[in-house]
Amino acid sequence: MAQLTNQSKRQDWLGLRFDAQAWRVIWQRFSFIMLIAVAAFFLLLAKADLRIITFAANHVQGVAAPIISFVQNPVAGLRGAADVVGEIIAVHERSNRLMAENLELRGWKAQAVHLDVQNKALREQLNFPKTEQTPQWITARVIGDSTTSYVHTRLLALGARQGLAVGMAAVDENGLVGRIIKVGASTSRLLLITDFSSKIPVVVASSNDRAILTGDNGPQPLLDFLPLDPSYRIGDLVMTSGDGGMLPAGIPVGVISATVDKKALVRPFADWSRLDFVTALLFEPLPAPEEAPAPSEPEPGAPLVSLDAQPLEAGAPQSGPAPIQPQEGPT
Amino acid sequence: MSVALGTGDYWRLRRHIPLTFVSMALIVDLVALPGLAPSPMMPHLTLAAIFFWSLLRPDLINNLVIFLIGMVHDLIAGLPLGMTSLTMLLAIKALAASDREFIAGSFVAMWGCFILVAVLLFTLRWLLASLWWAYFFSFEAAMIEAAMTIAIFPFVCWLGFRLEPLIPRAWHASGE
Repeated sequence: MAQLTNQSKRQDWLGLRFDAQAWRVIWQRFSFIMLIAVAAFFLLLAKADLRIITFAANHVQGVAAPIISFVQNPVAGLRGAADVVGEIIAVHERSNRLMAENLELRGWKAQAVHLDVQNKALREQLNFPKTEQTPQWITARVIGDSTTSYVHTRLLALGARQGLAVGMAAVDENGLVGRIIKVGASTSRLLLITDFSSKIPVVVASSNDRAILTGDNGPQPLLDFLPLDPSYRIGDLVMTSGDGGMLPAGIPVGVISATVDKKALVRPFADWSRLDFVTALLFEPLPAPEEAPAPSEPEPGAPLVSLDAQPLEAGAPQSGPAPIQPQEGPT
Repeated sequence: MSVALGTGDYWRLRRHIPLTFVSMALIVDLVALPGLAPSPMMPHLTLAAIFFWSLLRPDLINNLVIFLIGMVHDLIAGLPLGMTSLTMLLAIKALAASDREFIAGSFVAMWGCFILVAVLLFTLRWLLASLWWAYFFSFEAAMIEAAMTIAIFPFVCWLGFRLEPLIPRAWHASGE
């Protein structure tokens, strides 16, 4: 009887007979080599950037997102409690600082109102096309970290269902954080401006020097492709230039902090230690003329291309005043 | 309706302690914790957990489990798929070539062996990452990560040694 059972467990495979014990021995001996080979094969597949790997990654991230989010809650709670204690301790000093800041801002406000009136009058005189667009954004929670020194990315708990799309700029309350590079149904991946593969077109506000902000996996990205005779100074404000039409212009990025080997280092405004939430800016790049031909009979004085943002279907996006204001860098 | 668990069920459930431990370490690794730098260099808690359990209970944390944990890590962290599996398997294989019983016998031997495994793994990872992206990454940063992982290892051991007696002895790696 036992012999019959053993025979039934045996399997024919390519004319060879194996029983369960034989399979186990083969697996124990060769599992390491096989798994190493499979891992190396996947590594090569990943280099080819196959759609199936992105698909698998999006699904695994979608499953893991609620778990990671759940684990992160106590961490966020602890940090919130620590912040409250810190604020109570620093309330007097903060109040004095805010009062001084408020006084300074009143002066700026008066100047801004004056410039706005002047700007509108000049625009009317020049028949300048309207460029105001209603800013729209979605706030997403940062739940995951790449946890290595090779990639500087963050996992966001919102995806295509909530209106996020590849290429969107992400900011915190201080300035540009990065841009969205991958979007799944309910999660997305944010590439930080410090990552070595991040390239952002920027402009130095005071000198109008255009450059590419290039990450190097360090805390301070570099300004590449500056003009031959740049006229920037340490402390100058760096903003997105909007060149290439991928990101909106005028988002504050940071200040030039130092020059090393004729390369300018930029200290980002983004507060990496408190990157719990980011705001993804919904931006529609200007279409090329051939993509959006001018109407046959344009109205006199009407802009050639409307820059007004299209309303979104998703309920999550909000509109109103921009979530961030350009900051003056220290002089 | 209540489902009562028998003694046998608890017995079987406790066999999953190492896998649960490693999975928790993986989740902690992937959670965005407060940091001071854009990408805070964090200890590789999953490696420490896998090393510990593959030393004490290789029957429960085998090559396949290490491979799958590495794949999940890469998919969620946005790393090239297969990188963590490959480096962890190679590092653990280096461990398998050594005298497992001697290493598991004392904490000092275990920590000493882990230092070698961590340095090997982070060097391999740095090499693979540099080749994969064709970019010369900072080796110093990789070694800082290795040092942090080595530093966190005693804590993993402390926790692991408290959980290890709960796992049924009948399936012990040594076959005893």
